Amino acid sequence: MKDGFTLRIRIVYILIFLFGLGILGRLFFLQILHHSDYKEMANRQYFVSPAQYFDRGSIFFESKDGEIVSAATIKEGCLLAINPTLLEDPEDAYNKISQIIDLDKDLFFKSADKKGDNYEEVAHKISKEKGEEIMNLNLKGINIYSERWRYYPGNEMASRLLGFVGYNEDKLEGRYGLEKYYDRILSRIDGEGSIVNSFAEIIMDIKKVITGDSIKGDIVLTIDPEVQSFLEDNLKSIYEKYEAEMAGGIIIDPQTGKILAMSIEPGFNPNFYGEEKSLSVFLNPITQSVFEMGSIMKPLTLAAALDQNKITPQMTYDDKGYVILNNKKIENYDGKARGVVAMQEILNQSLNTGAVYVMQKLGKEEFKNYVINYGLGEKTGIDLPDEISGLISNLNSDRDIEFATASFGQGIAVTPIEMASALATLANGGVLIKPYIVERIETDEGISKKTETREKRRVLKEETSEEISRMLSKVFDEALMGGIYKMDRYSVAAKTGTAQVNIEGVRGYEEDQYIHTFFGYAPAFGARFLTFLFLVKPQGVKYASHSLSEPFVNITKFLLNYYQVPPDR
Amino acid sequence: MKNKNYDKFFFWIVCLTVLAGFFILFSASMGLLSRDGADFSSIIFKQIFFGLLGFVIFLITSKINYKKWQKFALPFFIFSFLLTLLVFEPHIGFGHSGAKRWINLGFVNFQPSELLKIAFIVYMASWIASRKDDIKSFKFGFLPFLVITAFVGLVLIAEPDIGTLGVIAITGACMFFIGGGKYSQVALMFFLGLALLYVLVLIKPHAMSRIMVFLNPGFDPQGVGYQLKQSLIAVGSGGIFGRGFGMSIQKFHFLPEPIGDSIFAVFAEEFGFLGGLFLIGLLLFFLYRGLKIAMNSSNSFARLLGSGIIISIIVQSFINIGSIIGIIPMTGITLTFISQGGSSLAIALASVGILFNISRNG
Repeated sequence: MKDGFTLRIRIVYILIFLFGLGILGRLFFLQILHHSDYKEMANRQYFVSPAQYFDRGSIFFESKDGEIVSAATIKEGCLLAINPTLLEDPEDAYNKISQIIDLDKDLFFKSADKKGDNYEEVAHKISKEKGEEIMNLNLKGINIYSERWRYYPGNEMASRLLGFVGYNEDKLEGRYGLEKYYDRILSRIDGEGSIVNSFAEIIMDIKKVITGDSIKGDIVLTIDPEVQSFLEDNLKSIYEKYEAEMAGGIIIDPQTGKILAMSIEPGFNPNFYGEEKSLSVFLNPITQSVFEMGSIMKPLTLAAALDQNKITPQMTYDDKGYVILNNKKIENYDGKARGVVAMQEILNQSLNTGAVYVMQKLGKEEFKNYVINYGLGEKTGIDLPDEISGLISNLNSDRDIEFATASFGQGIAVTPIEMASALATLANGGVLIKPYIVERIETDEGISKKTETREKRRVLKEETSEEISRMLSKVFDEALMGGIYKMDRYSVAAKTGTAQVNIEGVRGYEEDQYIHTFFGYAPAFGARFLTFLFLVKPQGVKYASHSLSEPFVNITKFLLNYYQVPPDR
Repeated sequence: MKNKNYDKFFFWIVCLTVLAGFFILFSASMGLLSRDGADFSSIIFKQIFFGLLGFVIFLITSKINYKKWQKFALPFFIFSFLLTLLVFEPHIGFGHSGAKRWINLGFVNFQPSELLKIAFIVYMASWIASRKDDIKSFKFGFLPFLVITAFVGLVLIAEPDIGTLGVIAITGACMFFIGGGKYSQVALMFFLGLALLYVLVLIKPHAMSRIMVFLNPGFDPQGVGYQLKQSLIAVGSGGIFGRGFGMSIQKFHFLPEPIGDSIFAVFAEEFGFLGGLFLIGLLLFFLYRGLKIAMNSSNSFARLLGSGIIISIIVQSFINIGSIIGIIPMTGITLTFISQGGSSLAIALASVGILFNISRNG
């Protein structure tokens, strides 16, 4: 019995042992003989196109009724990749596929030549339907993968504001505009690295929690799509009509600093940003360029002197048509003398000599203090990337001429957003406010972080703001183009400016080239919106009052109607 | 032969296997960090807890004279059988992916078929030993054996837990053979088993699809063939030396059940062919020492019980590994000592404790 038992137990052992050897044989087959095949299969599945998982928060416009419109979102479709090792007949494949989509011939055949490779992307942003059509061709070595990309439904709309998402090295990120400024909040999966590396992912997640980089969400802009479109249409028409180098505009709520619209013409289409020749078209001159603003500076000069009780609207001065300072002659735009005129005329007729007179009454030091207090020469802190500050270093000299030219907007150069927020102090009772463009951030946790209005400081007394508004509404009602735009039921404050254009990098001005500026707000008292327009180097028109009055009035009428502002007179 | 020393060598093999299993599980569980709803630390602590509990039970069972099991063999078997039926009781029984295999004991989920397995082995050892030469008889040996196995089989098919049934049936057949069953009857048993498998495939679509995958590994690679495809990629991409401890990529996103039945694939990916050679060698050596203990014991109950225990452990391991590398169909059973599973680990350690007592008391 015992011997029989031993024999039988050995038989069982041998059978199981043989099975164990079978396992080892199989392992040898899988891990040694076919190791490279499986390794390749593994790599193929770990290699994912970054585009496949790309994800990013959306950017929205919001209309006054709270209606949300996508400004930047994610679109899904396909990419076409070839496996050159499996692709047998590139010529045939190319012919068939190019009947369905546009295919870069050079790229296709160059990729097809890479025998031994097994993944080459040859076309992107293919719609799902076309992707399916290609898949139905059943071509060996032709693969369709899903792809996600940033999509801007409005095309050119607010392009300089939004910026776009593009590659920086190997990484997809916001390159300009809001996409750049809010990259940390918008970015979710940038497809960094092509191998799934979950260890790194876990460590990155922990790091993000520690650095507070984990707040992700969508952003809702203060931009109202209706207002934005209206502004853009008007800018486009003057940009084309006057063959200008650039047209720009800001519509801001002067009470809160909320930007309702902002645009620069020409824009670009962020869906095809690669087709642009010049990188400068991606920048936003409203925050990234400085201009000498011309006569729209005069109300700021007058308001400062009013604020210090150095002048009153009733005061008069003797206009000789020119002033000579530091051996330099400053003239009115037409060189003519007006004689004894009231302060109102300085604004109505835009008298340079008057602005100089007022500045001198105020005193250089005090004038400089006001310029600084208005926030000229200081970044506004608006939530847009790479904002620059105005150049007011001329006021560091002691030369009277520098102060005199500054009083009517030459010699100091500021960004449009700086100018708009300084002008807002005239409209809002005298407070400098930080402009903002993101209404709220809707985080993934469902919390919405609302931007708070932030007052920087009081610049003018409330009475001063009222006084200057009264003077500016007279400009609009009586002086602007002879008062033809006067509205019976609404008070509107406005002022134009026409400035010489500084030659870049040199002290001096371009011949016969001007920048037209225009600002105005309505209603003149308790203003709801301030519109600032500018036109760089328009052709065939000399004064801003001719080029910009009409778009300003169009916009103002639209806004009064759109926001259903009750008449104030 | 009484009061021999414990087989120290065997003891260290058990320790080594459990420890290796723990580290493999530790690495494989990291794969769950990137998945939703899985709790890495709770898995690890549970396994440590049940490992320690299993070790305590091991110490107890190794102290209990194995002969006592013979007296309780039948009640133990009946108790386990009834416990297994509880999985069909809707309040405490539950399961996932179409199989009812667990019961909820409040503080822990328990797979009663694990207990049924060892109870079956104890009972079979006792029964075959009591039959003596009658085991060769068709009427008194073969037929009753089939009936007992069929009872267990019906419950496990109903769950279904074909993998555990396979382990039990193979272990039972080995014990029947070792206990003196006729060669012809064992051969008949083999063919009966094949016929049963065929019937199962016909009536259970679930089993059918697994056979399809087995016969054609490329079958439905996004569906039922997915696990095999992914485990083959894991094993194959490991190469000779593997990616290194903790470095499996498959465990993160691709491999289903990385801490369950697919754990060998994670191990093979991390430790390569050399690791596989080591583990298979260890298991075969484990089997060798276990069978040696059985061979050296003084009576047929000890021989049958000892060989039954060690055979069931190794057969289960090999069925698991075999299905992961595609040489037998997928079964869904786990790798003893290594896969996550508290009750499985504790019961395996308890069984090894019994074997250990046999080495001492002969």
